[in-house]
Amino acid sequence: MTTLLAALQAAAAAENAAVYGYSVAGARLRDRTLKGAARADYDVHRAQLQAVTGWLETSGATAPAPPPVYQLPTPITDDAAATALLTRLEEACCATYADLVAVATGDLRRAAALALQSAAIRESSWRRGSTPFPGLVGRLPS
Amino acid sequence: MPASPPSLTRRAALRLLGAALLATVAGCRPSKKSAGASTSPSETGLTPDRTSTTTVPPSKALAARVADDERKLLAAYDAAIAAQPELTSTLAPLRADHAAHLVALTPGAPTTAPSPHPTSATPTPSVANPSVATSAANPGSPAQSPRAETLADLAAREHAAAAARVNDVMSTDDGSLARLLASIGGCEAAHANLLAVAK
Repeated sequence: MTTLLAALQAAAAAENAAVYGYSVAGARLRDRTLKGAARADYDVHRAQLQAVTGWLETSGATAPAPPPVYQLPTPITDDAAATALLTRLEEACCATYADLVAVATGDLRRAAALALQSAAIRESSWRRGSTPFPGLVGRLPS
Repeated sequence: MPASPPSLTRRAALRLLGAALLATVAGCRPSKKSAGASTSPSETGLTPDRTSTTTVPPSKALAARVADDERKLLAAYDAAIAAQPELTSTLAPLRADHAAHLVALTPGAPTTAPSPHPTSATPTPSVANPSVATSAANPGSPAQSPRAETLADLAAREHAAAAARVNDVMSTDDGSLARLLASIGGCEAAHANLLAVAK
């Protein structure tokens, strides 16, 4: 059973990965509109990372240090690869916020639900389409 | 695959959510020692083992209420598609998401239930009431095309649904149900944005 602390740490890890991924993908995007969107989303993730870090500290925990190196799942050779990575990062954020909703209560649960919606909007925007269960992709009991 | 050129509308939607999120950011110290054990984006999809799956009556009642909302959304999409068949390719995938929500919320129900009308929706008189799709759209705004009105109306419905899901999440002790409802709310928020930027 996932604990609140584990869920918060997973959310921090997902936000760290997103910050890193946006910095890389954003730098390589050629389309100016997409680049602008990626920059704005990067800022959102930085703010959200701070929020999650704050939640961790409120819970009496220290956020673990981010890994020194991230391995990209695929090389970012073009805009399509960049947007695919960003879609994936947002889905990962959705997943951790969905898990946080499950174990959190009160204001934290509400904040997690809103964070999930925010990530789901970005995910669908990069994906150019929707998915029925953001954050639960491949994880719903059949 | 280029992502949708993010529009002002998308940014506005994110700003709204951002405002809600920043409320929670306030008062939180940024930390230099932040971080994560997980190293790859793919690893952040956890495999939690949640145990609170027993469906107690309050959870059932909540799921049933949300299922009703999903049926209403399905009806709105059916009406919209009936009234504007040229929007079918835009709306059918979104409608299908709601059908999936309904299935998830009503386990054991016949899977045909969510689809009283085919998503290819040939407009038949019984499909409903096209006014469902158009009547509520921005009465104050200057003459929109019926197509734009339909999209705006559905976007408003999705936006309201997403907001309702946040409240629904707050009204259950069942963590698994809360997680499902939060995900459905995420989908609805994304729909609202996709509809807002749809041409």
